[in-house]
Amino acid sequence: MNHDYAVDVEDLTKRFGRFTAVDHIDFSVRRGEIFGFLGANGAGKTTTIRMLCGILLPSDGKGSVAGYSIMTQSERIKQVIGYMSQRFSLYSDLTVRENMEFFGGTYGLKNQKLKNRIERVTDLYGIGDFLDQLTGDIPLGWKQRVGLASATLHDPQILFLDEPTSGVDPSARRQFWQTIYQLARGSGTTIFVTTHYLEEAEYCDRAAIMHKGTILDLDTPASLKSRYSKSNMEDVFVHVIREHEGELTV
Amino acid sequence: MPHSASVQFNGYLEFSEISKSYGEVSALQKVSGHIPKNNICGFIGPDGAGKSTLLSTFVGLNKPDSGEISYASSDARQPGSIGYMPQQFSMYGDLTVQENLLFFADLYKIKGELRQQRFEELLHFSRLTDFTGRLADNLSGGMRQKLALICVLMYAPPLLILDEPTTGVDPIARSELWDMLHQLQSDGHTILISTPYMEEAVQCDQVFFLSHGNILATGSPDELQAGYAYQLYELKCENMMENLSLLQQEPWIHLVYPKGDRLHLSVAEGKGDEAKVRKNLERQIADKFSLRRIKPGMEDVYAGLEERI
Ligand SMILES: Nc1ncnc2c1ncn2[C@@H]1O[C@H](COP(=O)(O)OP(=O)(O)OP(=O)(O)O)[C@@H](O)[C@H]1O
Ligand SMILES: [Mg+2]
Repeated sequence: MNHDYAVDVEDLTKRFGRFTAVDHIDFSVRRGEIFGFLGANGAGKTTTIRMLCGILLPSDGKGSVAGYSIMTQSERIKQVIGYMSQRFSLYSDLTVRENMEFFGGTYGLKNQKLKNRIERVTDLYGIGDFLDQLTGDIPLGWKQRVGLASATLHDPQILFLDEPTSGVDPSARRQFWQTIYQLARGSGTTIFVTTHYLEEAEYCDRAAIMHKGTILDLDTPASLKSRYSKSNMEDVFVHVIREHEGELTV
Repeated sequence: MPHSASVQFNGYLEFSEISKSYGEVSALQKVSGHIPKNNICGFIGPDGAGKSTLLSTFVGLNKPDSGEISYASSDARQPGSIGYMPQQFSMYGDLTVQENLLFFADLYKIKGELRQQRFEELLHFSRLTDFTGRLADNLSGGMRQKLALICVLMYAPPLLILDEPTTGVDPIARSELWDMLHQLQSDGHTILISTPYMEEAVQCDQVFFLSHGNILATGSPDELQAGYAYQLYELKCENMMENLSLLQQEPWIHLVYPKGDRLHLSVAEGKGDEAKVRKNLERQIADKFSLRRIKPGMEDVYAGLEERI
């Protein structure tokens, strides 16, 4: 395994009973890269992320995250990554501050250090007005920022974001991507992100297109568009998946 | 899709001066509108704009503080004549896909051949045919969303109220879902839908743009586009994100934001023409760029109406 990679997997596989959700995939993500993980519903994106975050044990294959093995070192992995899950992991009956304290605690932050970190992300994400409100009561666009703030309290090397912008309105989505971009370019954080807003794939350095457990293609947005002669990523996506399903008529 | 032969919702829906507050938060402020029979009406706006509150008010799940809702057809108040898919749909996670669907069929007494036919059609449409035995809890996010939608379509009521059915649904499935909505419309259904995808607004007959509990604008997509009050340009350049931060500081630009691999840039009417914009940009941007004037899409129209930033 190459330790220059933030993520490096080989033959990674996950079976649930007789069903194979992730089917022998190989790919690697460079440090500091914004990596888009695209795919149809049920393709296996969330399942892959859960294996990479050390939440789910692979059935087969191997992989490393930040140089640690996903088979044997999941506890180490959890210390150096941030994870925002598809179904928000925030507690709606806790205030924003309490949520951050809780998350900070799980990363082993406490006392003054925790306080300082909370202050820093509060400023960075502009969530000061919401600190003492119940998380369940604040608009989704803000909840998603709180999610990001909580996931970055411990300065993770790699950030896994599973549909962070689903259901979020365009202006909040744009602000979110500007933040992500600054995290990657400014602090060198590796970003591993899934989205169904295909125009967001344009902001990624490279994007993988996944379907029924396998990766159909992986490249920079520019080469994907030029290889398939499409003007945008949504057309590339539709083409690649339809072609794979043999539904392409031309 | 050959759905129910007798669609009974043959009137319109009218709402006037609906207000609703939750404690100190005012979710809706005297909103009014008229929804013709057999239309697809889109409710569009950022989170917290009041879309869900308004839709749940139509269903009668949410009592407004003041204001009135009237249905031209008295049938609309009959159980089973409105199908509602809330944003947070609670399915039975410990039931399978098949059990969830048949539960809804039983609830609304859909029987016999119709039941079997719909069951198969909807599973095929949602690409869930191979997963009928899977527990809803074990579906992916988008699959669960599609199951929630087809549970409502299982009894295909005349009036469908769908709160963000396309959120988390992949682009191919999303366009299939709109095909299905248009099919339902031609079978006589009336559809009220909210969506965070602005481009989907063009699929609607009538659009309500909401913001902070108010209706910002309403009309057909064409009418809304015609009302756009700015000059819009598309800018293609190297180092897009860096240039974006630069241009966001510029007072002569009304709004600038990324759209795919380009930037959209709006300038108030009267702030000069394309030549002037080009000249201004040459002063700001070190990289080579290309510029052209474009027609606004629904996202641009909304951005132009929105007061925030
Ligand atoms: N615990 C489980 N038991 C059985 N099947 C499962 C389980 N978890 C996931 N699956 C199945 O694995 C497949 C992949 O699911 P996954 O959530 O990874 O998809 P996804 O690519 O994230 O999709 P989406 O875009 O809809 O979020 C789906 O068919 C799903 O039903
Ligand atoms: Mg997922």
